[in-house]
Amino acid sequence: MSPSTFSRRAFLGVGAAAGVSLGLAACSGGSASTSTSKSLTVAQWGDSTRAGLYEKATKLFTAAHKGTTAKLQYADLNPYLERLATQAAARKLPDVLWMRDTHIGRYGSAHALLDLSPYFDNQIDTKTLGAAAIPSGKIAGGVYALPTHYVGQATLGSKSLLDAKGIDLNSFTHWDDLAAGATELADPSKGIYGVGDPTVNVTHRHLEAWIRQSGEELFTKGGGVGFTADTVEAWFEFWDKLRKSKVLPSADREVQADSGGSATNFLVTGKAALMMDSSNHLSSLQALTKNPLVMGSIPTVPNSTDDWWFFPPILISAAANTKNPELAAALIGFYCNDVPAAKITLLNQGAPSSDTVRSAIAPALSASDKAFIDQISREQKNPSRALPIRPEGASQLDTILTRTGQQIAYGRQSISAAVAALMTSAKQALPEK
Amino acid sequence: MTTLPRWGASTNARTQAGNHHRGRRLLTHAVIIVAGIAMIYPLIWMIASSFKPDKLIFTEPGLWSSTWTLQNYVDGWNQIGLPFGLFLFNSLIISVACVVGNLFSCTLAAYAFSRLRFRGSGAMFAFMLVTIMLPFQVILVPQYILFQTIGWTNTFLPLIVPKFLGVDSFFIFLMVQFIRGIPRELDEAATVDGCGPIQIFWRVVLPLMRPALAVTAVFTFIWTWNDFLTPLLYLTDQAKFTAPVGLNAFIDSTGVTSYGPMFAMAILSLIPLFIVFLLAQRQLVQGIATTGLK
Repeated sequence: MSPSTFSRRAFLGVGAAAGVSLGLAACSGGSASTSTSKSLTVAQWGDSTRAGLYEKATKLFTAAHKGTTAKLQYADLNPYLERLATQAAARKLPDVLWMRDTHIGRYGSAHALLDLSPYFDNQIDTKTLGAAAIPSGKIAGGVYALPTHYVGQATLGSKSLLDAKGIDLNSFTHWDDLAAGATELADPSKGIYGVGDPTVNVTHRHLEAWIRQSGEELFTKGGGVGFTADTVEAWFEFWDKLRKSKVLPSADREVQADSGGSATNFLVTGKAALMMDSSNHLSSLQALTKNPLVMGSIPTVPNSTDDWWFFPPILISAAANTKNPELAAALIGFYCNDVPAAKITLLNQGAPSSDTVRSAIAPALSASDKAFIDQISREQKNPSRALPIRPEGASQLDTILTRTGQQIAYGRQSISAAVAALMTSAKQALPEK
Repeated sequence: MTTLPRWGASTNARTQAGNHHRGRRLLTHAVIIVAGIAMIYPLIWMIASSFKPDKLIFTEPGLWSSTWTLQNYVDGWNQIGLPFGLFLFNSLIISVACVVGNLFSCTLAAYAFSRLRFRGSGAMFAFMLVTIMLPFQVILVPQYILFQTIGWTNTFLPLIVPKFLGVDSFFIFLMVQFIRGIPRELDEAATVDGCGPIQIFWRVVLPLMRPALAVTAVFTFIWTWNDFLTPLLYLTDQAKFTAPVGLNAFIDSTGVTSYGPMFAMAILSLIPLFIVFLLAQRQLVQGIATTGLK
C-alpha cells in the first residue's frame, strides 16, 4: 500500500469522525417526535402580535381535544408564501394553513390542499359563514378553503370636514354623488383634497367593485380577463377628471403618501376629506388621528347590478398531506366558529365570517371596530354573486393596474392608450384556460 | 539681499504648487465625502428613526426629530414575547458554527485539490466548480425534503452540518487558488524533514493561508448572519429564530408594522457584524489582495 493511499484514507477518516462527532453534539438539541399523540402544525402570515393571539386561542382547542398538540408557525406575508411554495413542492405543507385568495386557485388545482366538503356535517359548520363562504374556496368540484374572516371596501371620511360642509357620507349613492361631494369638500387654499386617489395604490378592490357593478368580473371562470376596456376606461376617466380639477392629490403626492402606510394616509394627516379604503383600515387609521373618522358603503354606477357586493375573504385550508384530516378539519371549524377563541383574536385578521361570532364579540369592540363589523353585517344582507376564483396571474394584474393608474396620473400616457396597453398585458398575464 | 527675492519667489512658487495640489486633494475628498454620506444616509436615517417615537418616523422623515426616546429599544427587545437577545444568540451560535465548519472542511478540500494527486481529482474539481454555478433555488426543495425526512427541521442542523461537509465550493475554490500560490519547494523541504501530507498541511500550508482563512471566516460570518431564507424555512419555532427572522416578526405587511422597534433591533443586530468587520479589516484587505477576490 502506497503512503499516498494511506494518507487519503486517513484524511477521510479524520473528516468523517469530525463530522459525526459534530453532528452528534449538535443533535442533542433537536428531537424528533415519535409519540402517538396527534399533533398539528398551523401556519399563518402576520407579525408576532397576531401569532401570540392565535397561540392563545389555539390552546382552547388543544385543551378540548385530549392528546392533541398544535405547533404554530408564522412569518410576514411574502416570506410566508415563499416558505409555503417550498413546503408545497416537497409535499410537506403544514396541516392547517391560512391561504391568500390570490393563491387558492394555484394550490387548490395542484391538489396540495385537502377537500373540506366531506367534513361539512361533522367538523365544520358552514351555515353561519355567509353565502360567499363556500364559493370562495370551490375549485373543480372540491372546497379547498373557507373564509375565517372577511374584509370589505368603504368610503372613509373626516367627520369635521364633512360636518363643516353639511355633507353626509351615506348620501353618496352613485359615484357621481361622491365626485360632487368631493368637489365641494376640496379646499385648495388650505391644501385639502376632496378625496384620495385609489388608482395608483397596490390593490384595486374599488375598481373591482366598479367592474362588478357594471355587470362584469375581474376574471372569467377560466381565469382570463373578465372586464372590458370600456369599463376600466370609464373608471380612469372618472378619477382623472377629479385630478384635473384639483379635487384629487397630484400623482407624486398620492404615491408618496401611499408608500408611507397608515401614518401618512391623507385622512390621518388631515389633508383629505374622503378616502377610498378597505373597511378594516378604519380602526388603524383612527388610532393615529384625533379627528373622528366616519365610514360608509361605497357608491355604485348608475344602473348597477344589485348582486355586486363582495367581501375579500381571509381563507384557511388544510394540507392534502396531513396525517390527521379530521382533526385538521375540526381545527378549521374551530377557527371559523368558536366564540371564546374569537374573543381572544377579535378583529386581528378582519371581521369574523360567522355572523354568530360577529354579534358575540361586538360588545368587546371599540366604536370604530364596531362600525367595521356592522358595515360588513349590513352589507352581507345584500345579494352577492360568487366572486370568481383568483387565477395565478391575479397579483400580476394588480401590478399592471397600478402601472396603468400611474401612467395616467403622471400624464405620461393618454387614458385610451394606457387602457389599450393594460388590456394587452392583462391578457398576457391571464391566459384563458 | 539678492537671494531674498529669489527665495521669496521660490517659496511662492512652491506654495502655489502646494495650494494647487491641496486644492485638488480637497476637491477629491469633498466628492468622496458627499458620495460616502449619500451611501450611508439610509443607515444614519435608520439610526435616527430608531430613537424617534413610532408615530413620528414617517411624519418627520428628516434626521432631526422633535422628540427623542429610547422606548423603541425597550419595546423591541420584548415585543415578540421572547427577548430579542435570544435571536441574536441563536444567530451567533449558527454563524460561529458555520465559520468553524467552513474553515475545517474548505481548507481540507482545498488542500486535497491543490496538493494531492488522486484518481478523479480533476473531474471532482470540475464537478465542484459546477456547483458554484448551480442556483440556490434549484436545490432548495430537494434539500428541504431531505432534512424534513431525517427530522432535522426546527433544529440548527440543516444550517450548520452542510458547512462541515464542504458545500461552500466558492471558498474551496478561493483557497485552492491561494494554495497554488504557495511555493511547492516548501512542501518538498518538509517532506525531506519527514513530514507526511497531514503534517505538511498542518505545519506548512495552513499557517501560510491566514489571509484566505480570514476572508472565508468573515464572509461566512456575514453571509450566515444575514441569511434569511434558510433559517425561515427550517426554523419555525419562535425560540429558534435567528435575528433576521426575528426582525421579520415585527412586520405585518397586510396591517400595521412596528417600524420603531424593528429599526432599533435592526441596529442591534448590525453591531456584531460591525465588530467582526472591524477586527478582521486588516486581514481582509490582505486577503482580498492575495487571493484575487473581487
